Amino acid sequence: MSQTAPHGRSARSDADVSDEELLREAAQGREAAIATLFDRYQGIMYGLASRITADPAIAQDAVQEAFLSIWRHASRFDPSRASARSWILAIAHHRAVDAVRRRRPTSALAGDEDLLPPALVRPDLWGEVRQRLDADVVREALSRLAPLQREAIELAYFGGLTQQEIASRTGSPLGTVKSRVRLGLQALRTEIEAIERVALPAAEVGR
Amino acid sequence: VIGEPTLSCEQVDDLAGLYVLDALDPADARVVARHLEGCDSDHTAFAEVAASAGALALAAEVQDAPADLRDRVMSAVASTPQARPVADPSVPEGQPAQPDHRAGGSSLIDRLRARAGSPTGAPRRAPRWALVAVPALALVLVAIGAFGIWQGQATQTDRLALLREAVVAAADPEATVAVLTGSDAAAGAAGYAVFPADRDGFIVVDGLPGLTGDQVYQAWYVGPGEPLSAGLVDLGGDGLGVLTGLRMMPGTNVVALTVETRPGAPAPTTTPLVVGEIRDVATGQGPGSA
Repeated sequence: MSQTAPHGRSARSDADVSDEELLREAAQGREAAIATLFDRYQGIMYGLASRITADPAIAQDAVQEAFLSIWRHASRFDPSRASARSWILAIAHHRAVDAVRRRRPTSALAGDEDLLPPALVRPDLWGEVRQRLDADVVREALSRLAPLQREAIELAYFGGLTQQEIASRTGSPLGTVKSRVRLGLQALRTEIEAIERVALPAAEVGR
Repeated sequence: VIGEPTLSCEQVDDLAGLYVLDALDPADARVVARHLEGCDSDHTAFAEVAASAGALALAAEVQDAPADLRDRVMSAVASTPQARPVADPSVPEGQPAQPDHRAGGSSLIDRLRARAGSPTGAPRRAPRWALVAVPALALVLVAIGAFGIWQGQATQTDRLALLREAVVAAADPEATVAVLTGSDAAAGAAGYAVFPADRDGFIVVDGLPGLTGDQVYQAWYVGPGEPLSAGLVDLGGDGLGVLTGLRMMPGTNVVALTVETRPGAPAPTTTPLVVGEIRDVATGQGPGSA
């Protein structure tokens, strides 16, 4: 037996394997790759699903459905189009929004307080996820957006509202909602990049 | 598919933000997903906003899932076949060779239950739809071939043609198909809703339980709004039901059968017994692919 097994991925530690590589392995039918992705992403996915659905049981189902989607469609992941992280989190978001919309049989709006983002508490768990980007950076970047852009993005992303619903809630034309969201996301990217270069003081917390 | 609006690259880019935030209604999202799938342009607008959308997830508070969720996920993974790779036809050892049509899983049934006014039960394990449905119909075909059960009957010959077409369509990853699976009283039922590109769609379902009196199986288009009737299923004494004249209604992503009273109901009044999600041919990147 040689030390250099031809397929010796078990010799490597999980930490060495990129998300993209794990998706490739999942696409080849390796279930353990999903287990590793679960360990990396369950915290952020469950946190996101909990915030969107505000219901632990529904949030758990949404996370499970998301991992099943990732498993089933891993072969369709195209690294030239999106990072693995963006792809995985997009699926997680999609599942959570789907779950919350199912509970909203018509486009009737939930109570006002449901749609206000809950107070942002500083998480100190992000380091476990081994990602460069820090939650505080994103929150700081969000807080720097034009208020109407931020509102539109938060209603869509965390409230699970559609363009129509955002338009009627904010009393804005559909086209305005569309451009606020798009411009807001572009600005968010710019702000994140700016903050990352500046490096926030460690004590700076959310909003 | 039929008569679906198309958008220019510019118009699609304009929707990028709403698309990556899952804020488009499903019909619009499908149009965008199809465009991206078939378009050679770079559409860098999507790459830009997708990164921001991914970052937004970090603004939610990280929260550990309950410890048993990992086991639940991994056991669901172990019993869930993967979608057939598009580019690589080789199927890894141990993976089912059938294309996987299972889409919505238990949530789909729960959603329909909710629409029919029935209580939603505990989360159910998703059936392995493709594995159930394909052999069931193959058996029907074998029976027809071997025994000529339906020879000489025009309507049954039509049914045979529909069955053959459904089986062929189900194996075609580009075809618009919903794999239908029965539950509860119709637990053994399996079939397809097929939407050919050039004419009306149809449903074939095998293994439907017999009905009494003036009961009838009614088919429904299910989308974001209220379910729309797709008509009544013509049920043979052999448990094979057929319905022709289906349209691809905008926004429809699920086809379902309920038991209703002749001449049918304006809205479902019972729990759907047979359900299938229309397989999305535009399973590409982005949230629409999930």
